[in-house]
Amino acid sequence: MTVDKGKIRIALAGNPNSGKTSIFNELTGMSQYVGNWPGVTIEKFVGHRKTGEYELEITDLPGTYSLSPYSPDERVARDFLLFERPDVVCVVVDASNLERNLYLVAQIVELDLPIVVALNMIDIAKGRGITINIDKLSALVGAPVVPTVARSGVGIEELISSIVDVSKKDYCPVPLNYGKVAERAITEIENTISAAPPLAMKCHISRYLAASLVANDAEITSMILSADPDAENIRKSVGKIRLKMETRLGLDGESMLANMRHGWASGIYHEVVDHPRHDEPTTTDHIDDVLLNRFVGIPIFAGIMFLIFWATFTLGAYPMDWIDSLFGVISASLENLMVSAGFSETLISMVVDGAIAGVGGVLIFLPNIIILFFFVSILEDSGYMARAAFLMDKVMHKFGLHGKSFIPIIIGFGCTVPAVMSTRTLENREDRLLTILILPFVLCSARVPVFVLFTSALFESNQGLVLFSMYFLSIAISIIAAKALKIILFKGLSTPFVMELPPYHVPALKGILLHTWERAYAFVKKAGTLILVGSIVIWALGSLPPGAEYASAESFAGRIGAFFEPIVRVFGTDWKGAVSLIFGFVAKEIVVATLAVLASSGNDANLANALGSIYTPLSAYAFMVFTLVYTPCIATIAAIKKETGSWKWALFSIAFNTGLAWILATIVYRGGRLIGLG
Amino acid sequence: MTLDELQIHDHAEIAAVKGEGAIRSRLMDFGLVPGTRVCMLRRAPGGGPFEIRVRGTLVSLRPAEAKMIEVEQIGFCGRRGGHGKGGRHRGFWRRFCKWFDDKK
Repeated sequence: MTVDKGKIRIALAGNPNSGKTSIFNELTGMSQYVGNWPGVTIEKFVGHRKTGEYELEITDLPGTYSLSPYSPDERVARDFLLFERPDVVCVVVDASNLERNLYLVAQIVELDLPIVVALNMIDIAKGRGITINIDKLSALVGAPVVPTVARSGVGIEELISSIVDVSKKDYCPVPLNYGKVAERAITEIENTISAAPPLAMKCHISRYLAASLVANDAEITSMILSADPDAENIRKSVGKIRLKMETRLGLDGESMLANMRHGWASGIYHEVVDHPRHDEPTTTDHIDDVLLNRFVGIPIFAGIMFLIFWATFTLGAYPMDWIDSLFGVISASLENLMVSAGFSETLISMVVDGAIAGVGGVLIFLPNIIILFFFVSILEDSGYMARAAFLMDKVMHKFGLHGKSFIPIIIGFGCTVPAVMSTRTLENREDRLLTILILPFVLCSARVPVFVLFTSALFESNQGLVLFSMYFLSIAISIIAAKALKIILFKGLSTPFVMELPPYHVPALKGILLHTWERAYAFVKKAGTLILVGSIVIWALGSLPPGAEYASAESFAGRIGAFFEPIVRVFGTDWKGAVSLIFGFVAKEIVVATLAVLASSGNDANLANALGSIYTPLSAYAFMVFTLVYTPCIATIAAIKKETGSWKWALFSIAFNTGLAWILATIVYRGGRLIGLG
Repeated sequence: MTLDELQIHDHAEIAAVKGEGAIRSRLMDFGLVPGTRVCMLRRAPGGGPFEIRVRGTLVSLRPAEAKMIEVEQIGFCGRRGGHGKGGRHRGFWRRFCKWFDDKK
C-alpha cells in the first residue's frame, strides 16, 4: 500500500457500543469536526492525529453490526470502504462480546484492505474472567490485534504505531472460506464479472462483489450492472449460478453467508478465549431485574423521566432568566449608546429589537439544550436508553412509532427544539423523521400562555377543562398524524426493532461533556443563523416602513395581516389575530405580547377584557386550536432543518401544520356556528 | 414453535429464520441463524418486546419479529437451571413467581 506524502487515511469501524467513539475521541481529541455523509442525514466525524512524520486522517464510520445494504448507516460505511479505499481500517471490537463483534470483522476482512483490530474494553473482559489469547486471535484473523481501554487511553499509542506499521506493508487478511459449493459459485461469478473490463478496473475486490452477488445484494447488483453495457447477460448468468448454489445448499445465499460468517466468528472465539461464557447472570442482568421488572420497571422509568424534565425545564429556567436579564441589560445599554451617538431610530431599533433580540432568541435555548443533552448522554452511554425503548415500545409501536420516540415526545411537552435534537437516539432514519414531524404537534410550554390568556378571558368557569382539552387534542392529533404520515410518507414501511441491550457502563464524564458541548455548539452554529435571520425579518415586517408604529396596520406585518384577514376570518379572528400569529412564527410566547400591543392595552387584565369583547368563546377556542397546530417556531424549524439535513421537511412541517391548523380551526368555528354554539 | 411462544428461562435452538429484507438481515446480524442457541429472558411489562440472550448479547425484538424465528426448546437457562444456583426466589416467593410467569 502506498502512503501518500506521510498522510495515512484511516477508517474507524465497529459495532455500536464497542467504544469506537471513545477510541475516535482519544485519537483525534479536539481536532474532530462534524459534517454529513453526502445524501444522507448521518453525521460524519473526521479528525486528525500527528505522529512522528505521519499525519493520520481518521474518519469515523457509523457504528454497524454488519455491512449489508439494508440501512443507511451500513451503506455509508460500506460505500466508504469500497470506494474511498482508506489506507487502513481500524476495527474496534468489544473484548467482552468478542464473538458477535467478529461478525463485522468477517465482512471487513473480505474488502481487501489492511486491518488493525483494536480489542477494546479489555478491562471489562478481564473483570468478567475472560482471557483472550491475543497472538492466536491475530493469527486467525490475519491482522494485528492491539488491546485497548479507550476510556482511560490505554493502548492508544500502540494502536497508532500498529496502524502506521500496517500502512507501510502490503498486509492484507485472508478472506473466509465458504465451503466447497459456495466457493465454486463465488469463483464462477468472479470470472463472469471480471470479464467486463470497466468493472475489473473499478474494483480490486472482485471476490467481495462476487460474494455479495451470491447473496443477491440489490445495491451491488445495480452498481455492477450500471457499469456494464453487457449487464443483462451478466445478470442472467449470475442468477443462474446463484440459483444452482442455493438449490444444492438448500439455503439462500444471504443466509449461507451469515451462517458461515458466524461460524468463522464462533470458531475463532472458542479458539482464543479460555473462559467461554456460561450463561451466568451478570451485573447487567441483576440491574435489569430491577429496571425492567414488570412491577417497578415503568414507575422507575417515569421517575427518571420526571427528573430529567424537571432538571431541564424547571432548573433550566434560572439560567434562562439570567440570559434574559443579561440581554435586557445589553440592549438597554446599547440603545442608550446608540441614541447618544445619534444613530437613526430605525437603525437603533434594528440593532436592538432585531439583531440583539435575535441573538438572545438563540442563546435562550442553550440552558435547556445543555442540561437535556447532559442527561440524554448519560442515559445513552450508560446503556439505559435501550431499556427505555424496550419498556415503551409496545405503546409507541401502536402509533407507528419506535420505543425510542418516547423520550423526545416527553421533552416536546417542554420545548420542541431540544426534543427534535434528541431524536438522534433513533437509529433508523424513517423512525427518526416520523418522530420529528410529529413533535410540533406536541403541546410545548411556549403555547401555554396563549391558552391561559384566552381561557381566563372567555372561559372563566371552565379554565382547567379547556386547557386539558388542548392537551388532549395535542395528543390525539399527534397520534393520528403519526399513523397518517406513516402511511402516506412511508407506505406503512416496517422497520426492524431488533435492538441490542448493551451491558451497563459507568459513562465516562469526559465523553459526556464532549458530547454535550458538541450538541450545544452545533445548535448555535447551525440553527443560530437561521433564528437570527428570521428574527430580523420579522422585526423588519413589524417596524417598516420607517415611521410606522410597531405591528400597526401600516407596518408590513399589518398589511400582511390585512391580506390574510379573509382567510383568518373563516375561523373567527381578524387582522390583528393574523399579525399575532405571524409573529408567533418567531416564538409562540410572542403571540400574547403582540395581541397586547395591538389591543393597545397596558396589562393582562385589560387585555383579557379587550379580547373578551372581540372574541366569543367559540372563536377563542378556534384561535387556540389554530395556535396549537400551526407552524412550529423558527427555532424548531431550524432544528428540523439541521436534524433532517434538508429544507424539504422543515418546509413540509410549516405547510402541513399550518394547513391542518386552518382546517381544524375552521371546522371548530364554522361547525360550532352551524350547531348554534356561536 | 416460534420464538414468541417460549416461556421465560427456556433454552432453545433455532431451526429456521423466516421473513425477508431488512428485518431478517438484522436478525442474522445478531447471530440468529439456524443452530444458534438462545435463552428467553423476559418480556416487557404489559406485553411488547421480548428480551433474549444470544451469543452473549442481550437482544430485544418485537413479537412480530420473534414470530419469524422457528425454535425447538432444549431445556432451561438463566435462573431456573443451567449453571445458576436455583435463583434468589425461595419458597412462597418462588411459587408465586412461577404462578405469575405461567399466567403470562
